[in-house]
Amino acid sequence: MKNEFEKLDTFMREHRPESSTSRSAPTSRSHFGWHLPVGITACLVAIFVTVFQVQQRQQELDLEAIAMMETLEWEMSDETLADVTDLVAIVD
Amino acid sequence: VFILKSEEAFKTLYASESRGVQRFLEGMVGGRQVAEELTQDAFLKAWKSLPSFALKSSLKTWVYSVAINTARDWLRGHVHRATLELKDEHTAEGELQSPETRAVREALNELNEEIRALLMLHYYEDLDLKEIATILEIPVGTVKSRLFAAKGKLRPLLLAKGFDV
Repeated sequence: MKNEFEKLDTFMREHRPESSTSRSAPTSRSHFGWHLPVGITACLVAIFVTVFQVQQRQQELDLEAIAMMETLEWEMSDETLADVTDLVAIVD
Repeated sequence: VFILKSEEAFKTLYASESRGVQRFLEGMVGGRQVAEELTQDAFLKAWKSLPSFALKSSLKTWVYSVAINTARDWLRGHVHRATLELKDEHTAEGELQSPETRAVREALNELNEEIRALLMLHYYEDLDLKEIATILEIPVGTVKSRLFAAKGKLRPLLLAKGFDV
């Protein structure tokens, strides 16, 4: 039996519209949009600032310790200083 | 299923089916830009709902099922907009499309969305009756009879535009 829509079938298949898909596969990033890169940058900045602050605090503590040592040494009598020096020598 | 869930598998599926899905969605909603967005939505939905994909059909038919539901959802709230966009697009792309292709798109747009979906899946996406039945969730016999009726509605529209079909 002849297909009564044969000409229509041929016509439709010959004039298939082409799609212009050119996008890459969607990822979770399409949902995050600009939030993701901004978030990562903010985290990196926060880590950098924290490390910098810790280093600075450590430096301050070192300076304080040096100042304290100098004060103690200045206040120590010659005898005490000799004892401390001996003690340090034993510990070393 | 575990392998299919990998990102690589998703990219492969997108690469092989996105053109067809987008063409299908373009025909359904009428606008290229909207179709692009809906294509991405459909793939993401398909991906997220993959656990409910029971391997009863192919991934291709699964993606088209999600795509047609995405188009239906969109059309529910944008019927007038879809018609307008189609007209605008034809004006903008008139030079790029052949008169026959334009006539086909116009004729399809005059049909309701269910008939349009059926004809596009049949003619453009090279899906067999069983696959179309799975996507539209109707029996194969119903696909056959609806397809026959749909062709009966499409032909006079193309004849009226001067094409010997």
